[in-house]
Amino acid sequence: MTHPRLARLATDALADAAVQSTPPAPSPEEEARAIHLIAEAIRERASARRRRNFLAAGSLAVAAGVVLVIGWRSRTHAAPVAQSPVPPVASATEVTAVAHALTDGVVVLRAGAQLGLDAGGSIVRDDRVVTTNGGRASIVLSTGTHLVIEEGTDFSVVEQGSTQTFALRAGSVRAEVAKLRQGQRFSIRTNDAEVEVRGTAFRVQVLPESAPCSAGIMTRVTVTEGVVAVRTSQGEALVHKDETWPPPCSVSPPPQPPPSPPPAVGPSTASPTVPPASAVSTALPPAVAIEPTPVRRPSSTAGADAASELAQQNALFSEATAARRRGDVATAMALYERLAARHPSSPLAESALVERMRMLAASDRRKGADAARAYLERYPSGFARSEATELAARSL
Amino acid sequence: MVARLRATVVKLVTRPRAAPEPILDDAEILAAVRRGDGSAATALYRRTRTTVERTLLRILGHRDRDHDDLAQLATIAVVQSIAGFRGDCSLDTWTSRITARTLFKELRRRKTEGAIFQADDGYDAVATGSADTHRDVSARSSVARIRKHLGEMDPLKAWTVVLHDVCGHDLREIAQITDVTVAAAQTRLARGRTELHERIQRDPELASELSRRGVRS
Repeated sequence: MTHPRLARLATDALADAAVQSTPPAPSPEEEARAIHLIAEAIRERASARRRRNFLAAGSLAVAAGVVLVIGWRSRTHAAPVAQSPVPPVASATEVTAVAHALTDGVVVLRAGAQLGLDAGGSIVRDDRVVTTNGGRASIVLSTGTHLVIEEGTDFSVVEQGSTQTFALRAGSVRAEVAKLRQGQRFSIRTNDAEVEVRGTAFRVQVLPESAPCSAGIMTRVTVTEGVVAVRTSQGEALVHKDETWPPPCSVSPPPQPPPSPPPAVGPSTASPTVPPASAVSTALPPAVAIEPTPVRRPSSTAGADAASELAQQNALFSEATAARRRGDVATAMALYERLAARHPSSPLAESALVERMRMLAASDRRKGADAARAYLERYPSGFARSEATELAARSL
Repeated sequence: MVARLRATVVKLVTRPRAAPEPILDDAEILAAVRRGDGSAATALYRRTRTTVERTLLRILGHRDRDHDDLAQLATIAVVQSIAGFRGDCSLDTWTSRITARTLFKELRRRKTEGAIFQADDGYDAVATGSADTHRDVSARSSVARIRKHLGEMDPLKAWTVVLHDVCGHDLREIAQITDVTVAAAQTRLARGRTELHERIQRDPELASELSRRGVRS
């Protein structure tokens, strides 16, 4: 590689100056403070490792218990509903998944049989996880990926090898995807889109057909971290952090009809309506890009009043994000705070608190640290815990 | 007299002394950190402080307004990433790499990449013990002007040039620090060098000063 002469002389001069520079000795107070923080970090790292080991051992124990129970039930019970097919043995390259019901109203449908998830259990290819209204479940993959199946959702496992593919027929799912290894893929398909990621956090939702402003597309994607690719018959779009796909409507939405009934819980007889990967891929015209746009402030509050609670949350979050982007920090912080206070169980509440914490930290270290501690108290294992821990430590 | 002298010697020899801090080598420090022994914090701090400080100064060329916080963040990042240290480089190299990465992330978060290479270093970056004061002033002025040119360049290209040609990181390390591929880091380095060269060419005073220094050395 060429190294132009003047650039070389310039960098040599910088290096010479750096060699001759001497860092000032820290004061005893500074030294003591730094050592205290490092000791805290060492202890925190050790306790985090112990927690991880404990959780891993607990998950293994639960999985082993579930396998034993399922095996025992399949030998002793003759009733068709109680007969739980033993999950196929995972191949060496297969990614294992353990599902847990977070509330009542969660079932797994496997080969015509209905399984409960009260004690958790492994799920395999072709399993469907169905949640009724108010039901929620979580799925943890052996790769570290974490999925939260929200209420009124019909979610199934399509592929569990180096390519992990899931199908979302109705409802919504939030995903925190662990960094994938070389050759691994993670995607979620809906009727009209395929969402593929490489290490990020996002939410996919399938709207009811009568949803306003759907423009024929029923899928909604919200990215909270990283980048995802959304493929449809119209092409591929990259959706970045804090963006939604497809771009929001430019007019205020009409009042939403009542929510669609939860998906029918029953044996999976019909073939999935989600098209296979090949169908999605072949439908794509080459090199067509749809650029998503940032979330915009809704033009009318009347529409938001009539919209569902979820739409209100989205509108608040969008408004706050728009205020942050145009530099109106006070408005943005107030809106994020209002969202977290009014909708504490909203999937956006955590992101709102994180954004508020970051803005506070940028302007006032102590307030930022207070916000970080409040966040950690509310979301001890939240996605921004390491950042919050650092911010909280900086105020000491 | 002899007895009194002997008693004094005995008293001096047997006087209780403050227990010295145990001196731990790198392997002992790393092992203690890995097993969560908080008492290793002092040893780790004293072992890594100079490297962390030097790396910050090498990259920034000045004491950042949050210098102490950055140094602490970097040392905490060393603790948090200790599981990834496999011993295939020295602890100093590892610390320097983690510090550069922490600094890179922090400054990107602050969105102030454009201001990281400040012309006014405000720090005794040039030795003050030299007899030739004129040369000192001239060197300081050159360094400030080089940093001004770097500050006006694309921050990622400027970062890559500084990390490679000033701090001595190789392309693989720079790729890790800046979250890009090695090929991208190489491209940035080549383009950054060319841009810096062209900028200095348009600054004849600096170009001639650097040329004079090049001939002297």
